[in-house]
Amino acid sequence: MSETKNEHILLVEDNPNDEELTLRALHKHNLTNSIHVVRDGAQALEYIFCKGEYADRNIAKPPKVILLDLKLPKVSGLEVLEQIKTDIRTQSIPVVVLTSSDQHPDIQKSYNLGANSYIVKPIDFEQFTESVRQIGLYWLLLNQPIG
Amino acid sequence: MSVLTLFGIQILIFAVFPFFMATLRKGLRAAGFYIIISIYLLIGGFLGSIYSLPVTETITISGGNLAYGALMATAVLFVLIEKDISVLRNVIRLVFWVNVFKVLFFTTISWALQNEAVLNPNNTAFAVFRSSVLFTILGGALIILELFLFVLIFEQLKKRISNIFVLAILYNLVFVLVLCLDGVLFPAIAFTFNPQLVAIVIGGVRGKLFMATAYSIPILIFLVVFHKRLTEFVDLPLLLKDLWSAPKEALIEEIQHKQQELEKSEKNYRTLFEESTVGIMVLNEQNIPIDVNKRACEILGYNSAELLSINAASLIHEEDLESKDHHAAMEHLRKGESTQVEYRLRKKDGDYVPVELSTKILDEGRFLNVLRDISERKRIENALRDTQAFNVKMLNTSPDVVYVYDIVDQVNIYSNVSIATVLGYSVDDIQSMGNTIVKDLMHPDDFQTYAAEVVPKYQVAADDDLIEHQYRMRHKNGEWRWLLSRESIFLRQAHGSPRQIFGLLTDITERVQATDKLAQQQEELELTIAKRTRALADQVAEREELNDALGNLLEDFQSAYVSLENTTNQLYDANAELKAFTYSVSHDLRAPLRAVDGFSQILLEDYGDQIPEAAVRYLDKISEGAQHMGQLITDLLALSRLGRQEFQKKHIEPALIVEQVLKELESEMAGHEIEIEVGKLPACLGDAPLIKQVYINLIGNAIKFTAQSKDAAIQIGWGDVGDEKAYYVKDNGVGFDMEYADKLFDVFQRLHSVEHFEGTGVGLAIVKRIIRRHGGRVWADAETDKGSVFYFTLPEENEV
Repeated sequence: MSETKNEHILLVEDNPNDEELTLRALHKHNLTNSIHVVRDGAQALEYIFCKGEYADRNIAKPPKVILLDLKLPKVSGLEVLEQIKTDIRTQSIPVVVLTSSDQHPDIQKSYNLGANSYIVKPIDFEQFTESVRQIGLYWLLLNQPIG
Repeated sequence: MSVLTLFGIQILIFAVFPFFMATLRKGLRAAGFYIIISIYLLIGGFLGSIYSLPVTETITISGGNLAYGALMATAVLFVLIEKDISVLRNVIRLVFWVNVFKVLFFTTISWALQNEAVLNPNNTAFAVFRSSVLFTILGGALIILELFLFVLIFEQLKKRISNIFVLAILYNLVFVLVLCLDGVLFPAIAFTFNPQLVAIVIGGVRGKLFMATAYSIPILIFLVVFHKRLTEFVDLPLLLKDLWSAPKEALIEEIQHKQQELEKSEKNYRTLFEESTVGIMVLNEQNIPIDVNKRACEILGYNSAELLSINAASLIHEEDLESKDHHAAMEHLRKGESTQVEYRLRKKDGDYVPVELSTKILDEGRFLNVLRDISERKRIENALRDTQAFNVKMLNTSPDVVYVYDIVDQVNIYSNVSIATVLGYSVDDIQSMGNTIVKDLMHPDDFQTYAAEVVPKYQVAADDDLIEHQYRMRHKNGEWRWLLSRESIFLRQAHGSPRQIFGLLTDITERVQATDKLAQQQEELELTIAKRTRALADQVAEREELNDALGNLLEDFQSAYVSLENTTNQLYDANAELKAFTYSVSHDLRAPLRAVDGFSQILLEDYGDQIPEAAVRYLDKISEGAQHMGQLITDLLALSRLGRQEFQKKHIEPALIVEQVLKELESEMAGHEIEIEVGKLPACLGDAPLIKQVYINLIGNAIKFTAQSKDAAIQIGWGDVGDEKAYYVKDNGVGFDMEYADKLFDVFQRLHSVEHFEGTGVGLAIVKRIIRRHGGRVWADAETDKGSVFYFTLPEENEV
């Protein structure tokens, strides 16, 4: 993962199994050419706002889409979402909440904070693969970002 | 009687006599003194010539000594008492002239005796008288000398010694010494003429001392007793001058002095006359002024020259000349009495000035007239008259009756005209009613009260006290009028007891009537109030009982509340735990399942061709189990969410909801024919998503359990069930055994094997919970293999 490379997807996922399944699903549909994975909320913020470990990164080159889990170590997914959506530099980055929870409050809060989509990860692997494929397809290929 | 006793008596008489004199009135006293002094002088020389008393063998006192000693003592006392130069002068003159008389008398007698030897054969008488002449001349000179000495020395002593006792004692010593000097000088002179008589006359120096001491004692006593009279005495040079001054000059001087006094007096009176604040005119019989003072001119506006030429009577106002007072005054004057009359006198400017003229006859043909300008008094009197007129007017315009009543004579003295309005009688009527006015007019009951209570109050009332009483009096027309009197003492008798009262009387008939009416209304009101109060009291008692009961209830409630609060707190805790649990389940329990299913699938996808067929089946089972577990979690979360989800009861149309549900469930029904009949579903109150969930679960079940039936039919409707109306979903599926009906709605309870009908056992539990939350009831009726009916009730729309 080179710093200069234009990364299309940022995956924020603490569960390595889910990460692997997600990557496999994306890979299967040829969508894995540029994915960066971070494993907690703090790391995600550093990446997005080009701080700490990612201080060299150019904030002007944001990921095309962020796949964000909600239950994360250190900083929760909702907090990450809030910071992205309240900072004028990052608020236009599409954020897709990809989580196990189908709890109404989580969904409500996510949308209130400005999430672009809320996807419940299905337990059925086929369905899961399909979901990820559609996300990739839509946000990477169909959606036209600003600028 | 011994010689000594006789001597003592004589001294006593001589000594006491001046004291007696001192107590007399001034004029009488002076006369007495002069007579006694004269007697002593007359007999002094003579007595000295005829006897001498041998007191002891060595002491002899002559009669002359006794007389002269008494004379000296008396004269000194006299001078001291009178405190007057003229007294001393007179005494000296008296001594001088008496002695001159004596000398002439004795000389004549001795001359006669010398020639008439018949009468005096031994010629002793001649010798006696001749020596008497000598003694008299000598004695007189000595008396005068000694008197001077006494006065002189006394003056000197008095100036220097203030203590009266010391003064008195010293003065006595002087008196004794002077008399003793006399006792030395006198013999010294007398011896040269007739040595034979010396023994008789003188009695020796010691006799003199004895006598002087005896006479000095009364003087001593006198000085102490009458010392207050000794404040001032004579001026010696003046005394000497006075002694020799000619009486004629003194008379001229006195006349001049009187003249001056007169002039002074005249001046005083003139000043008094001129400066007097009253006008004074002295008139002659023709009423022409002889003298006028400044004030009289001022009052009348003339100068004195003008006034002196005017007939005073012509100044009097014509009308006043006709007045009774004037005529009476003239009558008095004719009788010689003084008069005082008020006149109007014409001033120079023609105006009249009111004066009070007092006239007195001074002497024949002169009248003293005193004028007082009484303009100011007249002005005040007029003002007073105006004020009185004002008062009368005011009193007569007052609606209240103003009156003065004499409580002694019991008659009305004054009343204003309002009495006519109040009682119908004129003022004259009232005043002619005499002393029965109160008794006649006042109501008999009130009169008793008046006599018993009000009248005594007058007797003890102070001037400022106000006595108020209410009573009735009969109007002339016979009506009783209620009156209120406010009275105070107006006039008292000489000894202070009240005589007249001043009163203000108000007609309060209307007020009293109004008050009576009010009192009646008040009484009625009070009765009503009392009645109401009793009713209210009953109510209050009931209320109190109720309150007590309520209080008990409240206590119970409070204790219940406390336990409820505890329970609530526990529930809150439990709820919080459940939330955390649910969250965890939602997020964490699914990930492993996804891993299980996901990696099982990956295994199959990537290595399917290398895995034996049996293993593939096992992998499928793993995947299936994971998915079932996932479904279970989803259902459980849905169930738990029901407890927390927001819940809104609104108007809903179950028919529309059912239509939607059937559409969604179409895929489930794919594969077999089911006859679905939807009946009438009335609108009701409920939460649309939750009711939809109910229908999803119930219709879903119906579809599921009719899957293996031929001619499957589902009826969805609403209607009478027993005595109530309920919604229902009926199928002709497998049904169930009613024995287990009570477990039907419990969570995870399944009456059919998973093998035949898949499911998690949560669906009906969700239905039950939703209906319960709506306040409805859910139950089922079924028969194995015949089908089942699920009923539920929802609140009707109008129930809210």
